Amino acid sequence: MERLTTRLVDELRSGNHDSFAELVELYKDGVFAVAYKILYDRGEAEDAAQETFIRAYTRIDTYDPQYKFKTWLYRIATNVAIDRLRKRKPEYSMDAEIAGTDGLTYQDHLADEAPQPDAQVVHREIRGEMHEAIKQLPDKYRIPLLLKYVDDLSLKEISVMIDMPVATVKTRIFRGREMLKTIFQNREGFN
Amino acid sequence: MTPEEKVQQYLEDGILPEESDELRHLLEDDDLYEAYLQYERIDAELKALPRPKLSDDFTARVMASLPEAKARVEVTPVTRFEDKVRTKQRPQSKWMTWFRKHPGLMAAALFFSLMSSATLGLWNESTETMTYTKVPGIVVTSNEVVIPEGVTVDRDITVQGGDLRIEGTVNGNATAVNGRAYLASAGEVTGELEQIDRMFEWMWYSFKQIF
Repeated sequence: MERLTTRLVDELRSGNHDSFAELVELYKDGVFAVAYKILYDRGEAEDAAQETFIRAYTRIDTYDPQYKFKTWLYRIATNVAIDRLRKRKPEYSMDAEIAGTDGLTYQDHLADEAPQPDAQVVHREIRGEMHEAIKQLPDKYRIPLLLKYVDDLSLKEISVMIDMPVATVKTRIFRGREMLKTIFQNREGFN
Repeated sequence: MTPEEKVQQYLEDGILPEESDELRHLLEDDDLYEAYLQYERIDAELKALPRPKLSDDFTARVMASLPEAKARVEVTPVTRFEDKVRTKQRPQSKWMTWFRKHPGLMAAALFFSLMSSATLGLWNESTETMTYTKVPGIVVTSNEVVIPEGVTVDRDITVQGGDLRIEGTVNGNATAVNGRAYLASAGEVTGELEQIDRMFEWMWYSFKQIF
């Protein structure tokens, strides 16, 4: 995969537009996974993945081949997703709590439009206990922790992606897990 | 590392209690054992989080939205990585790529070529017709400007494309561009008498005139 990537990047740099389609095929799932872990919204993550590839295409000249292409690309994905996260206005999020209603969200206000049975199952899984707990974590713990669970990402790679020392990344992952544990402990019936 | 962090590290490294004396020892503590069980479960649940799928037309949409995608790329679903995606677009020429990579250099080259052609144009023009500083009392023929004896010019005088003959007095600089400057024995120039008949000298002279 490394060799194929190197060849495709070389071809792209010498002006072969087609090789980019192959690079997208190779890395789209990983880029999407990174964006999803940060944004936690399928549609937004897909937009972020698309923006990531467009940026990578226009800035291919800035890629230094002595580093892994994957890390470079994931770093762009992380930046794009974090930018979107910051721009996100809480009042537009359907999952945001309505002020003063003690946990009631805009989603709860929507009439049940009776989705397809399949979709209902998926919906319930995604909105499971873990999903709710993760959303309570502050971004600075949530992002490194979830990136750890994107396939094969090492602490070193995560540290390059979010521009933080490896030791900090590690501490935040541990702290994030600890916070999840506390959230579950405070809830009845976890065990 | 705190004992809890150590427990997390063992889980992350995939080391089981039966493989590590230290871990076994840590887990003798009831609270730590409880924490260990919870971390084990959290780790498993994080690994098993649902993974949403990208839309099938993702690659096609990316390719269609690239800034320079003039020709639409036909993307057929790629089943193997090595499968070539056929397109109708011609690869960009190396020249254009180079051009894009060095905008500064290209701008400099363009500036130089325009500038030099403008300057050369002026040079050629100036050699065809004679131009001179109009001063009362001077005598002008088709290719010569004469300041006759007894005439005093109280300013700089410049002749282009012709000769300058000074028999009188010039209280200033006298310059002949692309021609000769003659100073008669009776003539007098209080400033500098200059004769410019080389292009570069002329360019330098033009340049000096700007300031």
